[in-house]
Amino acid sequence: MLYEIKNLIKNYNGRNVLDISLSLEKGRVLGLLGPNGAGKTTLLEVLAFLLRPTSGEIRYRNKTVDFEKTDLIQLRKEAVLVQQKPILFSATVLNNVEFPLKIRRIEKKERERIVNELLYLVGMEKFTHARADRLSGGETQRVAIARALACSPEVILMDEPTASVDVENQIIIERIIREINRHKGISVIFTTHDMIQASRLADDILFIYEGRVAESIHENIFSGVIEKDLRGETFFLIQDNLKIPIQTSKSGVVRISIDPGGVMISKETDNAQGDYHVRGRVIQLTDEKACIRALVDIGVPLSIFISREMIKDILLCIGDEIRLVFNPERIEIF
Amino acid sequence: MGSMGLLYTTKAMIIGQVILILPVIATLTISAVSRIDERYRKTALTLGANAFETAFVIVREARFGIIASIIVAFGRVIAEVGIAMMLGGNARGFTRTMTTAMALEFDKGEFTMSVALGVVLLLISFGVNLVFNYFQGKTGD
Repeated sequence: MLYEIKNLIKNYNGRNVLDISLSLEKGRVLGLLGPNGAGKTTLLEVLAFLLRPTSGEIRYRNKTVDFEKTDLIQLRKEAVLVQQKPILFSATVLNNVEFPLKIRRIEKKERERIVNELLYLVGMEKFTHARADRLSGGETQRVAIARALACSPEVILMDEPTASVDVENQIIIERIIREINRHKGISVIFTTHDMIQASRLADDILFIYEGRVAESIHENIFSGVIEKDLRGETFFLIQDNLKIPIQTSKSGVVRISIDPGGVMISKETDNAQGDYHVRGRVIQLTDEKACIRALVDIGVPLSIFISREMIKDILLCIGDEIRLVFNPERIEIF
Repeated sequence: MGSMGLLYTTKAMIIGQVILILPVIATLTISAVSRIDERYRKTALTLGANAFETAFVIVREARFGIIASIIVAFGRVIAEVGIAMMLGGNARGFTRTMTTAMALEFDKGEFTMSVALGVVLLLISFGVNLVFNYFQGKTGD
């Protein structure tokens, strides 16, 4: 077992930002999903031995880690974190990737060989002598990954590795994650907001919400205001014009999470009457293991699950206008 | 200083000047280092650096601010006359500096010589600043 974490708590200003138990086997890819502020970055920093937990037990490679007594420098050499917006030292790309090798006292010839190999792996070999601070976001991310790999880590921790890169770099970074896991046997833990990306890349997925492992998927999280209309029905109002019916006694500004499986759909051409509905346009259809995930533009992007039979019945295609009926019981209010 | 046999020696002048500029350099260096992004420290640590190597990374990133503090301190010291006069004594060929020489020439009424020395001092200070700025700009690019 690579990591075994029991009742780990990290407290900031009297608030528990992390209260978690989990385990990760060696050689696997773990995706951590959750909204902003869920505690994903804090968890990665604890797993990278950069942040001392307030309490709880961490076992790394079957040995208990004591943040007071254990040689953390040695552990950090095995568990490397690539930050969400990685920062490169103001030197050349070569100097950056070489840095971990230099502090490990590796000879110059061997350093050059490793740097060239890693820059080739991340597709940055043409930039060896370029100034690192002049690279684009995607290139910076790739060099940061190469620099982390230079440490020959057991596990690489990536905080939203594709959050601020274009599609081309996203594809490259996903390829790198697969390669380092399959060919080098390095365990990977990454965080993301993107459920589809997590399904594509990860062997295991954990949903984190408010510092805890959540059993259900907290997706479609929106901030808005609860209001009552003239008929006395309660609505959740997003962006001043999008109304979603909910059942609650709460009022004012809240956050809601819409269960992707709790939305009924019908084609816009159908003469469905009755239930209050919202109109939307299908902008993406993705094959999930048990069903089809549709991304629908209702003014905000909404992710929903549709059964394969339903797709066949209504011949749903990208670009189709649909009606969505929400089940208020499947909307969680925070 | 007198009891230690240091008064009117170059050592005394050096000690005095160091005491004068130390707070200036310390303040400007602390300011330069504290402005460095926290991610540099975390990056160095996660790559396996020890405390010394991490400090080296931070100092390297703060090098422009640190060089700027050295330029400020150099300008302060080279134009200093009080400490050089009091602790050095302005002894010819021994503890006389350009600023104390200027003060002496002025007292003697040799205004032309005093101003000439002032111009030379200005040029030296200007030249050193230019060299520093040149290298700072070059490495900054």
